[in-house]
Order: sequence, then C-alpha cells, then structure tokens
Amino acid sequence: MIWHTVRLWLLLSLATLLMAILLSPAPTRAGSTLHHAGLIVRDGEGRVTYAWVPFSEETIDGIALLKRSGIPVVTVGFGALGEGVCSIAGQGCGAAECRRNVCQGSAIDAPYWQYFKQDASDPADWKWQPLGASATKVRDGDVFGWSWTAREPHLPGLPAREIASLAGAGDAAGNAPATQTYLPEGVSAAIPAAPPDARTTAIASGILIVIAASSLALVRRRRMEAAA
Amino acid sequence: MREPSRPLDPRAWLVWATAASVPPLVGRNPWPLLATLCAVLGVWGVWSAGAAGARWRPLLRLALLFGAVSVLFNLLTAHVGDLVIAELPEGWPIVGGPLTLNALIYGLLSAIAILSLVAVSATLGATLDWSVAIRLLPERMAPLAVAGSVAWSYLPRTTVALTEIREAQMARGYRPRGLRDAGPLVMPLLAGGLERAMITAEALEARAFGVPLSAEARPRSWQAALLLAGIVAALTGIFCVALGQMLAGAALLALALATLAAGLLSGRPAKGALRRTRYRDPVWERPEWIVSGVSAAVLAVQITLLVLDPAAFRYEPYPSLTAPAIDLPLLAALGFLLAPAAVRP
Repeated sequence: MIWHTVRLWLLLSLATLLMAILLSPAPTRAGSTLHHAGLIVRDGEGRVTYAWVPFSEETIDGIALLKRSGIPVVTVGFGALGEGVCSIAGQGCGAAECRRNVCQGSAIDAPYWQYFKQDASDPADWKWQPLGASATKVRDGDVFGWSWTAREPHLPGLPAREIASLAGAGDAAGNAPATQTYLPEGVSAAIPAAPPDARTTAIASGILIVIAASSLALVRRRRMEAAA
Repeated sequence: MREPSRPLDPRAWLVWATAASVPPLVGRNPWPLLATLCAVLGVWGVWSAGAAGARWRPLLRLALLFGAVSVLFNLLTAHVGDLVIAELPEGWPIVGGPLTLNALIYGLLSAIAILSLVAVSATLGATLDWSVAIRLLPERMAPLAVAGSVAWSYLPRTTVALTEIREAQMARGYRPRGLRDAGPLVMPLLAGGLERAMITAEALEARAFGVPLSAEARPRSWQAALLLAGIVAALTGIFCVALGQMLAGAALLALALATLAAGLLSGRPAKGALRRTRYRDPVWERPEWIVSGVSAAVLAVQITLLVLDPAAFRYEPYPSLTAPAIDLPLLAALGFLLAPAAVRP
C-alpha cells in the first residue's frame, strides 16, 4: 500500500514538473527597442573596466548584465538563491572555495566581489546591493558596479553617458556590448600565467609514466611472489 | 595472494597517509593528483591481499560511483566555461543552460581527488593494526582511540554482514528484483547491527572500558581548570588567527601552550599509578624507517611548495581551459609515496 502511495506521489510530482517546464512562458521580447545599462568593474589593483551593454528585454538580472558585457566571469549556482560571482576578469577564487564562502575570507579585511548600484540622481553615490546580482532588476539607463574590496567600493562617480563613452559605445545606442579597461598609473594589464613549455610537459609526462609503471611492476612482483 | 609477513607500524602508515592526502585535499591540479593516485593505487595493490583487503574493496567501488556522480553533477550544474559541448533549455530548473567541457574536466578532477582519498583510507583500513595504534596513544586518550577504532570498523563489518545476509537469503531461494525487495535485506541488517553494537558494548564493559580512574590517577580540580583554560585559549587563539588578528592570536596560543603544559606536567600521576601491561612491543625496523622518513620528506616538500608556490597544487578550468602549472620537483617527490609498496616486510 505504502509503495503504491509513494509511486503515485512520484508520478504526480514528475507530471507537475513536466507541465511547469512545458507551459512556462518564453522570455518576453520588447519589440525592436534596445535598452542599455552601464557596468563598472574595479579589481584589487585599481584597474577599472567600463562596459555599456544593450538588451532587448524590459529588465534583466545583474548576472545577465555581467555575462553579456563580455568580461570573463565565473559564477556558481546556489539554487533558488541565484548565482554567486567567483571571479571577474581572472580575479577572485576557485569554484570550490566559491561554493563554500563566495570568495569571502575569514579575515576582517579580506576582499571579495561586492555589488553596487549607482544612484541615478547622484552618480558618486554607490549603494551596496545586499541581495546580490541575481535578485537585481536591471532597467534601461541603470549603472551597476562590481568592486573587489573589503569595505569601500572606490568606484568612479561618472554619469551614464560618460560611462558609455569610456566603454567605447559612442552615442550609447549601439546593438553590441562595448568594453574598455583603464589602468591606473604604475599598474600593468593583468597577464595570465604562461602555460608550461613542451619540454616541461614531456618531462612531467615521463615522471607520471614512471610512477604508474613502477606501481604496476610492484603489484605484479608481489603477485608472482604469491603465486610462487 | 600471500599476506605480508608482518604489518608496518601504524605510525609509519599515518605519516604516509598524511603525505598522500595533501594533493587531493588542497587543489585540483591534474599533475599531482594523477601522480598521487598512481602511487596510492600501487600501495593498495601490494597491501590489499587477504580478507582485510576484500572487506575494503566495496568502498573503492563506491568511490568510483561517487566519482561518476560528481562528474555528472558538475557537468549539469556548473554552466561556466568557454567550451560549450551541449545546451539544455534555460527554463529547466538548475540543470538548464550550457554544458561545458570546462565543467566536465573539473568534475573529472574532483572524481580523481575523491578516489585518491578513498584509496588512502582503504589502504589504512586494510593495513592499520588498531590494537597497536591504540597502545601507542597516551593513556588518557585510550577511550577516544577505542571509539575511533569501533567507528572505523563499522563500514567493513556492515559490508560483510550484508554479503552474508544476501547469500543466506539466496540459498533459501530468495531473488531480490528491485528496490521494493530491499525490506527483507535491510531489516536483518539493522537487527544484526544492533546486536553487534550490544556485543561490542558488553565486551568493552567486561574489559572495564570507561570506569573511573583511581583516586591517585584522577586529575585534581585545579589541573582540570588549567586544562580547560588552555583548551579555551587555544580555540580562541586559532579563531583570532583565522580572522587575521595575528598578535592577539599568537598571545592566546602562547598562553594556551603554557597553561596546557602546566596542567599536563604538574598533574602527572606517580609512576605505577596507571598500570598498563604489554605482551609485545611494537616493531620499528628498517621498513618503518624508510616509509616514515620518505613520507616525511614528501610532506616537507609539499608544505614548502604550499607556502612558496600554491599554484603547483591548484588549477581552475574556468572560465577558459588553460594548461595546468607543472612543478617537476613535486611530481618527482610524489613518486616516493610508493615506498610502502617497495619495502613491504
């Protein structure tokens, strides 16, 4: 009897899930009008990236804005809570650490990616967004900022038009995202670590083969000893 | 296969297991992970002869299953990376979105790490002489060690019991066909587990496990207060260090060290107050020296690299798939984790 009830419950749950998937409305498109939003990303060394991102929907969330900007970004999903940002343009933490604490170390001054929204009336006023990027609605003309910091955002207080200009979007009405990074004095562009050369890779492969072959040889020797 | 003439000393095994657990615990760089896995599987293959090895083999199979689940889970839930191999509809909860080669590779690396750690545990489980290990611990830690040994043996004993129940039921003509037939297997397993727990408890009771110490061996109240203060200071100090409050943390740890030393050294019972007899002293010969020495050297190399060049252990295939860093001295050092396989007494 109990198996029958459980099976019925499972079938009903699956049917409900299937219906929810099939009947869920497709994302709405707002005709041919394109909306735009600005984005400023400031890393730990003070490099500032400006982006001007077009979108056709009425609103998108903050994660979509970041991903559509074309800046390399790594996020991890937290189910219904949305997505956490692990790294932007190579700065941040690995996926495993991100799943544990969203890159927020235990020290008081440990930086992590903090999310801000610019006040439309006062561009110098950046408001911290406690609910995160997944829960934020981005509308036409909004400007959001990401800063790798422990406390103050240190984001520039520029109006949206100027951000579009700095991003290289020209008249701010383009249909492709524009992105531009500016380096502070004395700071060079972030350069990813060089991959190991062919000789090092060949030696490392040789070491691995030696370890694997030694393992096999030792196991085989023991088996032969046992058989003898 | 022939069983070894005698087991290695537990201290040598513990040093080896610590060294072998570092690469899978601290990072996902495929080079040290693969080197460790090859070495650990070699040691397992040499030392897993006999009944002890057979008891732990199902755990390795379970690790393979968990590894496969880890690969699938990461592929379906981590929609990050520049190499898209397939796409699921965005509307699907959790799994919807692009499936990337980056996520597949990270899942595979996690599976290798899981398999390595389980192979280390299985090797320890199959080779560690618990009675010797318990005798090596300080007197006051004996109850903890006994509890640990009982917990450690839980899984292999349950596996054996499950096999026996299945064989007994199949001999009576019972053929389980699916999940609904699990009931007749689970109930005797549960009853047998409770019965074994009672037998273990009675055996421990009969050997005076957990009885109060004699008056002269019992710590005085001021000694207990010192030990408690030392432990609290140590924990608070570690918390301060974790928060980056180095000065306060160092001061608290120094206080903890002084308090614990005062509590432990001043409260030592008179010689003969705690009587423990030994039938045979643990053997520590050339194989133990080689295994513990080589493993300690590998551990020292790993700790030095963790401080100087953590990238040697770490690797992230996100957002772009790049070649992982290679540290040749580390790889060469990890090869020496094969020492227990080479020096089996």
